[in-house]
Amino acid sequence: MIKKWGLLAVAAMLLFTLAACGGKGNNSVNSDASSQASSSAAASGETVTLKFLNISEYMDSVEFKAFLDRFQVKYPNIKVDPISVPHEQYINKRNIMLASGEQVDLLWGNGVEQFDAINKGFLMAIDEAAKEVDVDMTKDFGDFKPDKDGKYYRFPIQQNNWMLYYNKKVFDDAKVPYPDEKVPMTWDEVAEVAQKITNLNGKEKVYGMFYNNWGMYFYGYGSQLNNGKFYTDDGKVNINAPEFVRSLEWMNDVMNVKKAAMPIAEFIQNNTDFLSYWNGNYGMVVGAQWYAQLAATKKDKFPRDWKTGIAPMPVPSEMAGKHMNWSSIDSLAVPKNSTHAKEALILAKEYVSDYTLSTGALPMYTKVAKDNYFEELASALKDDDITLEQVTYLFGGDPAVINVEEKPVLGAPQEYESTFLDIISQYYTGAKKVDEVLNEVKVKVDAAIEEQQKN
Amino acid sequence: MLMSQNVRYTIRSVIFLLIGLVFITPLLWMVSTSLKFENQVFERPFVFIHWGQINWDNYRQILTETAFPAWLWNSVFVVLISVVLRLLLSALGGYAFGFLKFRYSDTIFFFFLMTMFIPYQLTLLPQFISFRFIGLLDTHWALIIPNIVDILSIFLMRQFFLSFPKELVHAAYMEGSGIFRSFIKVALPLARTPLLTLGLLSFFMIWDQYYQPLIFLHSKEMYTIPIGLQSFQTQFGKQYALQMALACLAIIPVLGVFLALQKQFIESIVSSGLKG
Repeated sequence: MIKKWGLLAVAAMLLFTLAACGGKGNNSVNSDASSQASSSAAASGETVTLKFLNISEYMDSVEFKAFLDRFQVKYPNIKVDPISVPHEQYINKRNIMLASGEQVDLLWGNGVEQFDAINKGFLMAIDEAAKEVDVDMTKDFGDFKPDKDGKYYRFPIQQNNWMLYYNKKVFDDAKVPYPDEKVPMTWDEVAEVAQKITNLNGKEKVYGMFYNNWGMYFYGYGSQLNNGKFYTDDGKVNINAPEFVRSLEWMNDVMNVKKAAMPIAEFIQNNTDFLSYWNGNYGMVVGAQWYAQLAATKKDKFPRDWKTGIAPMPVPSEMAGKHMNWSSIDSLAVPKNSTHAKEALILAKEYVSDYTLSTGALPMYTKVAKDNYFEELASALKDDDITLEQVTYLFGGDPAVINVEEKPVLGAPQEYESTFLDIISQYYTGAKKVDEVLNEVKVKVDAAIEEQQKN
Repeated sequence: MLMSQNVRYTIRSVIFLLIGLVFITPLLWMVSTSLKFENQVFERPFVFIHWGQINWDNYRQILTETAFPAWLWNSVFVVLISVVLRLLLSALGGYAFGFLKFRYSDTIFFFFLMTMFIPYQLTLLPQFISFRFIGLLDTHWALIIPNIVDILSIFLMRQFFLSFPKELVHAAYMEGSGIFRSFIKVALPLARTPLLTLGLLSFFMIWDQYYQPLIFLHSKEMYTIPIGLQSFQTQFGKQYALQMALACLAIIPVLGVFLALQKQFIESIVSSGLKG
């Protein structure tokens, strides 16, 4: 008798708890079912729920919540179900959701991540759907080119705008004049200046040049030399090209010969973070607009007793006088299993028109008024004696800027970057020669590209 | 002789002190970082605390601008329910496989054990699809259910019940108890020590789980502490000071559980070790 009652009690408890906690999940099932409706559901008055996958830093902000409120007022029939994921695990979650057939209507990604999704066949071409929401992909984003086979898969949000940040105190202490506001230094000049302003004998070491353990700090100079040709014409790895060899050798000269940058072993051992530049012990760093939005304008989080300056991106001597940029585009995309492409692009259009500016980035969408962006940024940097004219020129307002690829994005981009970074330290620690490490990268990534093509 | 004893004692103390330092250094770094500004985190030379510039704002941000209380509650809820149900099922399973025995029980148990060799990552996608099918995605039950049945726990309880004195249960049978009642009244109370060990180990293991909540939960308000910790990461890097402030707050319940049950925990480890 007791056994029967016990079993009954356990069964009842499980049933009760499962039923009680299944509520949210059931809703998602309903929303899945409703999403089987036609793509013009919102237009016909039916409510559509869009699942929007994005990284935490863009989705957990007060500004994003305010944007969603405005969006709901403007489009009451399009509900947004935000799925916010920490960036470190974003790709894993995205892959599992898309591979399982889970409904996702819009997803964020940087250049590497979106091309990875295109290569995996996760995304749909958006040319037609864009037309339906009155967006001309060929004109409304400047010189943005089709992604694959003449089709657009990405709805661009923003493009990185790179420049040279420098610490005026370090320059003053070394009695070295500041970089020119308009004329870029060549990389050779940067190396010389970095050596002059380095001081390793003081109470705290001051390195003339700061770098991050990211690919472009090693191969970016080469990308400027060969117009971002990370792949050969047959789609294989081109990292062993002479331009990239020269680029890596330049960094070796600065780091190991001129001793003007932290040795890579020390950099990795110290777990040096990209924001470490803002502790004041470095003279120069090449950084994009995110340095301003994350640190330079946020003195409450990054207190400093020195002024920062900004100057154009350094260039190879062959390109002297030219304003250059490493281009990397963050974008939104519509997965193939979305049944609401049109509504997803309505959300994408509003995201770049209404929200992107509040993240501190300049939207590529040309129909957005941008003057306020430059004015607010200049105002936030006025204590550093940075002018509106400088901000406008360097933060995306120069139409003559020459963009080259910031990093490889086409074949096996994730493997390309991670393999490069895994192996490259062997050159900078003197364990291997530059040709050896670059050839090793080529062999490994070519194999990954071939594997990808088979699939 | 006395001198040499003192020397030995001093040397031993220094060694233990150094070992203790190795273990406590990450905790000290965590506390130190939680009171710094982001650009001070990896400064050289290392400063333990900038006394004139302590950044309490990290804690204010965690407590007022994040869903930390919800994350904490979610973690506690998931861990408590999971541990209680896991202990119940492990005890039942262990009793069945170790004490009762039945036809093909060893063969069935062998198949159970084989599932331990499947890498967890391989099961993520099928689990995700299953939970979506039954509508459990984005609910805490997607975290609890896979934790309830743990083969290692069943294995440990089986080992305990293998050497369980049959006379005690037979005496209960003689007095009219059935299988279930004799389990509840006789076997379970005597399994308190291994269950406590298992409970504490499970508590720490489930508390730290990261992939399951990452994959199965979509809504921020459903997150558990480990995922909350990762949300201070941007695409360019981590906000270590904020992460460490959250970690300092999140460690309080774990420390509380450990301190409250420290004596029993150590006793049970020693005791179950002797039995094993």
